[in-house]
Amino acid sequence: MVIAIAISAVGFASLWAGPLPAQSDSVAQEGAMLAQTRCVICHSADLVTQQRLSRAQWNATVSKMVQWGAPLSASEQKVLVEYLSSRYPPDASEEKSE
Amino acid sequence: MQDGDRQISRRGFLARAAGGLAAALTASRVWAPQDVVQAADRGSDGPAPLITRVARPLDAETPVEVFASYLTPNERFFVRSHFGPPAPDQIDEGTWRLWVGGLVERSLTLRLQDLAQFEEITITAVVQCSGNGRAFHRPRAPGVQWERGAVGNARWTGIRLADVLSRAGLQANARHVHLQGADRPLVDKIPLFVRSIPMEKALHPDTILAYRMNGEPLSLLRGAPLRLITPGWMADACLKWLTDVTVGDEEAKGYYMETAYRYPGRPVQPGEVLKPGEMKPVEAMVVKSLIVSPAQGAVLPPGRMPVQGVAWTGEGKIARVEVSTDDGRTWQLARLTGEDTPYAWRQWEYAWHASEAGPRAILSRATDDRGSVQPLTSPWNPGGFLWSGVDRVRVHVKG
Repeated sequence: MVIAIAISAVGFASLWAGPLPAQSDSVAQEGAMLAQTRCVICHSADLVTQQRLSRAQWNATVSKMVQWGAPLSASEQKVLVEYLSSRYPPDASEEKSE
Repeated sequence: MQDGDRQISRRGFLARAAGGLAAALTASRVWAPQDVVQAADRGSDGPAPLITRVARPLDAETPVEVFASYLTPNERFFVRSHFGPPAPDQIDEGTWRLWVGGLVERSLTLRLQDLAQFEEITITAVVQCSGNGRAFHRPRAPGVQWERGAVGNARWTGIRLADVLSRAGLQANARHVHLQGADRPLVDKIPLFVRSIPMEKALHPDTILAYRMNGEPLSLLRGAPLRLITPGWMADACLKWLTDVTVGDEEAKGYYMETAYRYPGRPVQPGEVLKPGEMKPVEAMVVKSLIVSPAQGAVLPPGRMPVQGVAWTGEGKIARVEVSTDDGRTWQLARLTGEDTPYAWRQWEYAWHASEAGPRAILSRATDDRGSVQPLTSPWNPGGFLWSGVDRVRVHVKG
């Protein structure tokens, strides 16, 4: 079981790997960590990584998820929106990030 | 409104799962629909039966080459739900019941075997996800980024919803039929997937409660034991794992009816703020065609090359399909072939003479008997619904 969790954790993490655009290291790291641990409670990471959304769209999406029970504090929510807006904007590469 | 004590108890998942990753791993076990996950992961011995868009809960579309078959094979039919299927024990024959209530003269509770009391009918119909083609909208709309294959054509066997409603007897103010299935979200705060259809569609003799698909009992992923089929309408109405039919005097409340699956009734600019009253429910399908062969990216020898595909529309019929091999400057009529059945798709074929070597684009556009023509690009809408832009396949003709 421990091995299975470790392998799966690597698998999830790899979905979020790849070069990050200009963004403070701490926001990028914390944002990626929040995405890896909170979003995937209800759905797999691919639902997030396939999106190419504006900041307003990401903000609306994350707000909806918080309303639906995603465990994020107000400050974490802000960091996650910042990370997703920067990492998956409308003009991001169409290639999958996996 | 819903029959509360018949609700499946929810798991209160989030409260117990602050750890996140551990919760996700548990959830992935809960949701793993093994038959398709394993099948989709296969591929070393041929193309994957389905293209997975979201692994959990599973959303997967059909590779377009499968549509060379008039009927889409059950195991290759697209899969879509918001929460994944219910636990199998919730829908097994001993447990499952269909409850019919609300504004009726008498509530009904039907077991699977009770459905045999009603006349059985079979209808061939296209079922298409409302978001099919969402990935082609620019700017992008949030949601599953479906491309061309969240659609299929199957023979659906079941009983008329109208006959069941007639058995229950409608009250004078019955206007809408609310539908709920046995699937449940993992988290209590996520709204239940409740949809409704207006009474006119509910009473239409072709609207059926289906229990067989292409002659076989519905599989778990495709809505067993009973799902609604609303021929000509998008699949957001084709509720799976159906357990509750509640007659009401207005549309169902809740996120999946009041907010989701709605689009503007007029052209809008991306980012434009719309009032709720300007949005209407996604209902009938719009005219659309797909090029099945040649495949996207195919390398072809010069000479005669059949171009084949399918076309469908909402509650009308396909009148013609045209093909362009010069980026839409000129269009030639394709020949309609195969079965000509209401609600089903129509196969078509065009004999292309590929004389010019190099990269080429093949375009197809359909027109229905109401005069609706596939546009080059669909009108943008915030939810990315109803994509119907002309289909385009890029090939390379060898010199």
